[in-house]
Amino acid sequence: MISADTKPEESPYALWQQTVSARYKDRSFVARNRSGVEVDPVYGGLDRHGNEAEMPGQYPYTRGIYPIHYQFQPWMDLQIIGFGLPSQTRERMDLLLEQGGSKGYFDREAYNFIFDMPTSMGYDPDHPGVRGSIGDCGISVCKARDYEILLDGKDLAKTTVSMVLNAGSPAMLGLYLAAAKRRGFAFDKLGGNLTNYIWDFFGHSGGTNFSPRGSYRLIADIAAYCAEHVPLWNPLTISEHNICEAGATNVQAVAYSIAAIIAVNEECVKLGIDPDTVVPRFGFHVRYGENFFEEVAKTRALRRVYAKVNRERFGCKKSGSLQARIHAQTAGSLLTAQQPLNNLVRNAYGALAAVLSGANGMTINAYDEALGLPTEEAVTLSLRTSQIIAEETGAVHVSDPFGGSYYVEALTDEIERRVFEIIADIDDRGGLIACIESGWIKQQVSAAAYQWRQEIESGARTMVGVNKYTTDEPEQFAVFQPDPEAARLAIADVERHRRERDATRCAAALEDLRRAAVEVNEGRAIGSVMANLVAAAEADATLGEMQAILHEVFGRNK
Amino acid sequence: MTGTRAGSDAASLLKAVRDRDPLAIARAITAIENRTAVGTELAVAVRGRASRCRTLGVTGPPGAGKSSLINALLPELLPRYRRVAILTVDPSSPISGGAVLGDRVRMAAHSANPDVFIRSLAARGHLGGVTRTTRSVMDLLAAADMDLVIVETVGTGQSEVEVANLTDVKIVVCAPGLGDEMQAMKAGVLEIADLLVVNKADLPDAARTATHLTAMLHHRGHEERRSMLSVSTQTRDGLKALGDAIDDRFAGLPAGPPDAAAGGGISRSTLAQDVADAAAALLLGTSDPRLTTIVEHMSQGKLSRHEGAKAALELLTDLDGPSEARIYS
Amino acid sequence: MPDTAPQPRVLLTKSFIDSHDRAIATIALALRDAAMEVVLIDYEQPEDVVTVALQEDVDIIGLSFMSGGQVETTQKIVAELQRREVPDLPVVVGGVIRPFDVAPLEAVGVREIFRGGAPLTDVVATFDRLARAYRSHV
Repeated sequence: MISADTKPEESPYALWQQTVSARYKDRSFVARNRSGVEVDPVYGGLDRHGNEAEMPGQYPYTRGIYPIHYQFQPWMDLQIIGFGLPSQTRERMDLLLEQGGSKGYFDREAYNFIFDMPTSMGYDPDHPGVRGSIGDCGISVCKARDYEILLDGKDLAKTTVSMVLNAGSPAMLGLYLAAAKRRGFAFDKLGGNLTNYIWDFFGHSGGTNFSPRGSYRLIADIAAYCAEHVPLWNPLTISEHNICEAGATNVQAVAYSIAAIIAVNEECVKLGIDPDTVVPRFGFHVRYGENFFEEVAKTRALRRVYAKVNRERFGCKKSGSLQARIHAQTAGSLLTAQQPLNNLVRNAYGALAAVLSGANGMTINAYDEALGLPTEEAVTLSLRTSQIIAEETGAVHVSDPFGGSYYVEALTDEIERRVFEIIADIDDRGGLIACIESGWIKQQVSAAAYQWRQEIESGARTMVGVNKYTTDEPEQFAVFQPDPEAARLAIADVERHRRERDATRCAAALEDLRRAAVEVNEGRAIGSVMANLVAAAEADATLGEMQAILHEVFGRNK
Repeated sequence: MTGTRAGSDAASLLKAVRDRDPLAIARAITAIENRTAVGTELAVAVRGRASRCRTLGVTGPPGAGKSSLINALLPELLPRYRRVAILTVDPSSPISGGAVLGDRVRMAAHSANPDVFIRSLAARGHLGGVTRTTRSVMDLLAAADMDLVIVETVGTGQSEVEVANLTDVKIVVCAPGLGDEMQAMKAGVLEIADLLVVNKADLPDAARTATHLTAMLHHRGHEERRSMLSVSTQTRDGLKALGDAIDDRFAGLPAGPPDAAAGGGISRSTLAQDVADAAAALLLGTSDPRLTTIVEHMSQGKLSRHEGAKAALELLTDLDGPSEARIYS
Repeated sequence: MPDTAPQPRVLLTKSFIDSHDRAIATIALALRDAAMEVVLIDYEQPEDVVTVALQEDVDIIGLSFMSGGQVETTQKIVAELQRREVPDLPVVVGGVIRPFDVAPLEAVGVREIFRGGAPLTDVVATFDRLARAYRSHV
């Protein structure tokens, strides 16, 4: 804690000034508003206790992880994209690019792929029981060759690829890396994200995931492999968003997110991996929508608790290990089928809360998602929402503009206090994995979801157009209809793939994968599962074939 | 092959149960659990049948992995006991009486197997880890030619000893890291165990848990009939040994009366219980207005509970009761 | 417990590959609070739903779809109900139901479609009504 008698040159503000001039040289980040008033990139002052306030870019990063944020580097817009076959998604990608979307950092192109449910869970399109969902709500991908179609002609060294998926995550990264390797790209140039939702037993705890222990072991394996071979890759996104969407409160969601990080770090420590080698590449996915000021405060609390836990509990020293990078997404569960245009407004406020919290990336949902897959018009409007906030509202001129607000600062402290309380409770219950196995976590989340729903029912919580200001107008909206042929084509394609590949080579690679998985499951050769996933994918193994082996060795969630 | 053809009266339902019609079995269980007239009649008709098949109780604290253990054990048990029924009991909400029954999700792998019949039951306020009528449901399943009936209890704590009286062999499942829960259970549930199973033996703490339990077993010094096994449903280690141990325990059971269900081992108290059930079935099933009057008079205080019961008993002899053919068919 | 008017038994289910369980868990709790007994499972094959429905002797089946498969899966389940000779067992569907799903779902006899935001009281009342009507006829 900085006390009031700190020497001036060591005050947070002075330190911040030194950092800024060292890092950005003479560049000015002062903006001028319509009236000609000059606006500083950040404002300081005294905190609630009368001490000079922490500045952005300073531990514990309550006010943001950069001394200068949007003024130097705006957030990355990542619209979720993916439906049908790889070729169909590619058409949509080209459209987005034409309209000025898909912009990543440093002139990279960026794509945020979502996969159909079978793919997301690690099943091939010809797996029995998945047929009705192929290409519906996401792309169907099951082999390295699919990426060659999806990303044909793209310079992968200048493309950021985000993959949003669940239990299929480990094998999916294998497919992508194998495709990149075939096209001759060096792994140390590849940038992207794997959400790797196998950590998520909060809202997405179906039986397709690995056993809780198996999941956390695999996360460590992938993180260790990427740290060594694909250093620019982010192998884990802890999704506060998913936990909220499952019905948890903001406090619960932040606490469970941190608990997941603790479980991953503990697994790493147990396996002899120094957290400092993997943690800097972990990131967060945070949901914005429900309560404007609470969203801002929870983000600030999340950054602070993350920094404290990693430094104090795990002894992390690298600044990257202490800085929570945040990809923001507006709240899907607030999208209503009733009066769907209202969702445009909800999304805009959610996105604004994210911007004022300090986000690195942004996904604004399409307003028509409650009705089905988004239409092109809706996807475009989401992008425009982000562009309006960035380029019209002036919201980007000042970092952490709520810093020093009595309300937001008090709320930030209170959320932090409650988060640490829940973390202590989980520790008392034997840690996160024990809490998952006993069903306690699930009960907590379901109870919160149910309570929320009851508040809507009773009218205690307003949802415009749903329980208040309702209309009887019939819904008449264009809804995107997936191509019913996609399933047939995807199945024919994977069947042909199996016929045409070198079966002996593929079987040998899968056998190697099994051996590596057994070793890793026993706590040895960490990183070798991921290496063998890449090798198996190169040998034309499919997503589902690799997944079956991982399920067998690491167990399935029950 | 389903119950649509079976009538809903006890006799035709029972016939369909014996023909192993799954829907008839299911409807008969519902009737027994709801203690309807038909259900009570069925319960009397099948009383004691469970002694003709093997019965296995599975209990243990939440998170010990009872359902997962049963799921993993089924491939061991099915070759030895051709037809297996599983009853899983979950608590009912004390406020609404409703329940969410989620145990069978862990046994989904056996959904399509015609030799496995799984039924989820709600405790409906009954304490002891099972339902009030679990014994009758087990009898019914035996009547449906099940070779093995497994009862998985609610799993909330030390009071769950009722399963001991219901099943031949009792498994108590524990898992590493459930120290407090095991302490709480020690007094009651560990006492009833034939087999103590340490689940999740692939976890680092498993050995310590096993040692701890062994120490507890030998604590009292007298001859120990319980044995302890470690299993992992994930690696399948120990499951065959557990299957063998269950077999051994069944083999070591004293031979019961050869045909208990047909009348062997009937005592006066058994008869009294049967009479009570039969009377309940008749009273619940009748629309005789005299019964309504008795109930009204009791609630108005004109008849004491004892007087009301005697009046109802007199009424019973007048009611068109079940024929011999219906009960003993 | 009332001896003469048993509460409905309900099967709520979704595909094993559909990870979104907020809606189905919430409906399960609402039905529980309306005194119903709710069996909750994920299915791997649509046909498994019918096996479970028979063993559990439920009075109604609720299918949740958040990520595809609405029409094809429902058609398979309804066909299996007919094959197993329980064609009258009511089926209701909820979740993300697109306009183009409605006609084929109604064509196979789905009794009710619930979308996100449907009032829980309506959902509970519909389950209760359909379940009791079915039970009184078997």
